[in-house]
Amino acid sequence: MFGGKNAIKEADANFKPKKETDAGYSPTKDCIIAADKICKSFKDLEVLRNVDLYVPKGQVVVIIGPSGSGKSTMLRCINKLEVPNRGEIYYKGVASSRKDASIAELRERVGMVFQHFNLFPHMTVMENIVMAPIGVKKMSKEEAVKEGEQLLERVGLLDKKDEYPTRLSGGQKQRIAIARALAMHPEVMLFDEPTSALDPEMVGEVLEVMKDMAKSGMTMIIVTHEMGFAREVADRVVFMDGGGIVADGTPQWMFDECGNERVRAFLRSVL
Amino acid sequence: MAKVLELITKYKALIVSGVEITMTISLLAIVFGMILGVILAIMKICRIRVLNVIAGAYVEIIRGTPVMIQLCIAYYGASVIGINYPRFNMFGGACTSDRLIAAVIGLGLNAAAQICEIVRGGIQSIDYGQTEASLSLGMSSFGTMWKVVLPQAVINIIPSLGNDFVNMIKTSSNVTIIGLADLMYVSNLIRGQSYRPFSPFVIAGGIYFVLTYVLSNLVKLYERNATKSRKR
Repeated sequence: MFGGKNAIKEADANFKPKKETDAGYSPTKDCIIAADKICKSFKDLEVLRNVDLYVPKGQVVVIIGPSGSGKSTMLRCINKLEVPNRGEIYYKGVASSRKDASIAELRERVGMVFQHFNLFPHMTVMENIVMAPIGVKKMSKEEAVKEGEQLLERVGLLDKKDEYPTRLSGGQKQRIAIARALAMHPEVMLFDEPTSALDPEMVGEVLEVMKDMAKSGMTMIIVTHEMGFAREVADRVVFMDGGGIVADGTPQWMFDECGNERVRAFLRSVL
Repeated sequence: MAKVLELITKYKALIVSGVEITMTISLLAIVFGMILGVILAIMKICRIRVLNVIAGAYVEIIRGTPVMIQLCIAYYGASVIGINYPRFNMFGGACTSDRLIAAVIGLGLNAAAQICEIVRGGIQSIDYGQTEASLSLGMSSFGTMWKVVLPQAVINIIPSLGNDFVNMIKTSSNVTIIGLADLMYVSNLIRGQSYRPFSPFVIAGGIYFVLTYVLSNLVKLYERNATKSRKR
């Protein structure tokens, strides 16, 4: 797209992350996604104030917090659906605001699953899945369909490949949306309250698919109210309130040991 | 009644050519209006401020002025700004090309303003989540518009466009003012020749009614099929 030079592609080639304990470790260089001092306002409303979130490769991060705390905005800043007013998103150490870093290339590598699924209603399930691989990755149709079938198998919906989304249940739609995002072979997956719009009996099937992904080593950043899931699957739980990160630690610490009063009050209200 | 039939038989050739011209300019004007209207709609929703303003001003001005004035400017005024339409006989001498072109341009410019709003409404009625989902997959803005938004918007737009075409057939009667021999013009001609001040207009009105009635029912039929297929 930009001829030879492409910072995001270079980032993939040059990314050799150091461990946190290594000398010279830098969170913005050695994390797969580093959100650095992010500020975001909508008109007069300040939603994010100087938020740092560094996510090493393979980590599963769950973001919790009361509504209006900036969780979703934070997530949407990471794949540039919202452009931060200040601060920088680094992908594998490359600043995404660089002129030679294409936002579309970033988004190819950072998949997203939405609360309301956002499947394309005028396309069949399979067409939903293969659109971007064919259109963006220039994959052949046969290859894309073959991969699409494998992905549908993985989310347990191969028999629905020729249905239109309107004929599916919420849980099925969300699993298709996950398969659609995975079809681009993302390095990172963002989940914006993936189960909040679902009937209770369908939450489990979606979480099950996400659990499998976590096991396979996918880097995931998940905004959710499913505390049981957070405790079981997350490597790390981040608590946001009032546009900033208030607490950040392992699930065990967050749910059992953290003494912060805002965290305790929130957990009391949801558990 | 017998007298009306007699009138129709006597001036059949004239009436037929009038209908032909009315249908021709309506069809061409709606096609021209559609092309320009889609361009205007894109100008209006794109992120370039200057284009927003130009398209917005265009729509306001066209909607706020009579179509007759627009037609007069398109025909009489064109030569002033250096546009000279080619001139030759059409429809067996029933009209000349310069008037027909001016009519198509005048009506088309008028329809474009209407169509711009229809298309813009159709595009904006599609949930923004669709755009976000497509962008989040790495699709370009153009690819998102072309593959995701427009196919969904078109289903909503087509019935309104059909109604616009139906309206266009009636609006096209304004071209009489520039001397194009459409259905309205020939009925006035027949009035003068036959000294009958009533029947020619009733005949013309009847023909306009049949044309619009058939067409608007075709639009309804399409609408019903489209909603059905959306529920598949």
